[in-house]
Amino acid sequence: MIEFILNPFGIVFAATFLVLMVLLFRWMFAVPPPLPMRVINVRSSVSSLNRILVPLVESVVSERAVELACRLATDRQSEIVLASVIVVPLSLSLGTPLPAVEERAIRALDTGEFIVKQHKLKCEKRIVRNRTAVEGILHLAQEIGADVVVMGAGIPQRRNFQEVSPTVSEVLRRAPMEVIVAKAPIPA
Amino acid sequence: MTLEIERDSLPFQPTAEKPAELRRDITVWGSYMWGYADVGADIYVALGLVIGASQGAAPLAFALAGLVYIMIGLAYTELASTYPVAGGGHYYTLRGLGDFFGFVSGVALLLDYTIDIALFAVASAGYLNFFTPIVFGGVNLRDVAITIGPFADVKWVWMLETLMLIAVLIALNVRGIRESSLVNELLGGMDILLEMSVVIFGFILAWNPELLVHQWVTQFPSLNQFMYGSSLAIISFVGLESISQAAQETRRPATIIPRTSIALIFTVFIFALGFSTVGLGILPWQDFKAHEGDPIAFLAQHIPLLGVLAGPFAAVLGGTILFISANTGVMGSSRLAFSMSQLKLVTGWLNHVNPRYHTPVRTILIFGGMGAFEAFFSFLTPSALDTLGNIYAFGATLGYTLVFISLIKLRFDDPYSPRPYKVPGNIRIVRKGRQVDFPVIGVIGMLGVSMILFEVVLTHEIGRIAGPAWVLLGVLYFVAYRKKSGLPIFGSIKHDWEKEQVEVLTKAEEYELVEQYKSALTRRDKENLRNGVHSDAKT
Repeated sequence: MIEFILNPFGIVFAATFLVLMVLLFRWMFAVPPPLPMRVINVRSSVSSLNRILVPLVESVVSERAVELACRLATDRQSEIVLASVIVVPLSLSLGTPLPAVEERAIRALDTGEFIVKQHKLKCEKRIVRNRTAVEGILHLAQEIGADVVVMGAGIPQRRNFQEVSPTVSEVLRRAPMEVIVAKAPIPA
Repeated sequence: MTLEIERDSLPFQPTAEKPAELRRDITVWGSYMWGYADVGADIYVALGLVIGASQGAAPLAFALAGLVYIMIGLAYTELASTYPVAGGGHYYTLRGLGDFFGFVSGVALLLDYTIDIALFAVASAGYLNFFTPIVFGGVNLRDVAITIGPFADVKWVWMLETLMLIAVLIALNVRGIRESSLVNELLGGMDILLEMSVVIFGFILAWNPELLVHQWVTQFPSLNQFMYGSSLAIISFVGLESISQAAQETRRPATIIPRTSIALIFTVFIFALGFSTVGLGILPWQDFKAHEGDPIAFLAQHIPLLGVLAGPFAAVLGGTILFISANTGVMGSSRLAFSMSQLKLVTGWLNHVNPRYHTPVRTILIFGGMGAFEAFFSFLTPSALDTLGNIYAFGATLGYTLVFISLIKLRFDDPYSPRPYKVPGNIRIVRKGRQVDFPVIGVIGMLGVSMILFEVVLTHEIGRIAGPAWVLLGVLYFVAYRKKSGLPIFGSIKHDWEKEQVEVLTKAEEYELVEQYKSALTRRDKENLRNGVHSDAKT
């Protein structure tokens, strides 16, 4: 004769067992839908930004560009390279000390580094000397193998608000990699 | 019978140049059931054996083996979703440790597949004998025994039944069979419902915690006995290879395999704990030992209200599902031999496809025959199930140990392959300027499974001789084959793993992973270029 036993612990164990099994199967069947190929391409092109170059001058516009770059980098823990280009006039040799300009460049880089550290990302600071800002940026971008250049663009002083600075415009035109321009909003 | 003839679906095609691709049409439930048909059946065999060995401490034995098994399962999940190919453990070992250890792993798993055929055929016959006392006036044919020379108590009827079942499996596979997915999934579903019902109603209607505690306190086994029981408990979780075999035929394996395999791992773990806990709260362990041929049916029979129906139903279902599980041994050994021959670990002679039946008759006959021999041999020992379980545990633990080592090594050697699932608990370290996630749980799992391997060698009298002897014979064959073929014995044949990985992921329709992989390789190449490293390193 089989003995009939009703034990509260048994009921608790039975209920726990049932709940565990139901939760397990619910989780198993909740498979996310497949992504369309085009979405995958878009996602992968953005997520492959492993090294981001941010050219800096001492201005809020540049600092916004650093912040933007950090947000791009956060997902993949991409490396950010902060660079300041010291433009040396043709009348001087490339190595001529320009203390005031260099000081401004260092200040800009330090501010940029501070922003990057807030995001707990890796950052490298570079000061580059060149005859033009455009050449300095493009040369460095290729040298470090940047996947993207993030640049800040201020409000042009001229009447035509659609334009960006000649430096930004030239980098946009010639850079072999992706360029993202963080243009400051036009005041109302 | 759940098997239907369908020759075209086999992976072995008669074309000599290139085997046809395995189809990728397995759903989430199908993928889960593929594994469950193999692993889910283990408890039907293991419950009686483990309770018989670990007595009052059976739930602890299942829990300890289960914890190691969870770690093994997570390692397999990572590797199967990273490398969705049919090779399984031997492929991962070959990638991680080279050809020689890939072969050792493969030969250990081949041992398990042949034991799988024998063990599950024995167990299937055991469950079907549940009904013989009704037919033969209280006599269970399972217990009919004779003495043959030095071998006493040879259960010859059970042995004949087993050999007949194996012969049927060989014949069906030679003719070209495919398990009907629908019937297979339906049977698996019924089995899960039955097992859940036995555990739930067992707890509610018949479970006596005092009996469980009493057995724990008064009948706790000796350390040696417990080690034997806990190492035997690993057989209730063997069959994870099927997960990796399913990976090659599953759509979007990187997405689906982690879910189905994790669900499978925990289902089997919960069932093992549930059955041992509810079992020892209903019946004394000695009763399970006396019914090691059909423990689940015996337990189901003792549940009030349900027992009259649940007992016979569990016996029929157990017999059927164990028969299907034995068939996975035949199919698995053929597939494994095929994969090993493609990687030049065994002769291509095994790949031969019979022109009449379009099936790999040679492998079916060889490994099916080995299964039959092992079954015959096991009946000459005091307990056929125990002997087979012994050897099964050796093959599994050796194979799993190598898989764990490969998991750790591949994290270093191939950090570029996208891992849709990673074994949790990693420490990020930098090695040669590269970030590597060092798998702490992988190391713990490796130590755990090595400990079980040690227990097997220490306590399993037959397993410690038969298992290493099998591996040694395999190694001798490997040395002879490679020498004859002019291939390195301890070195490895060169492979373009990067190209193969892209092909595998593309065929798996895991396009996002293909993009990630290519992007990682480009990044590596850029880094190498920048550092002036000119390497043709193939991961």
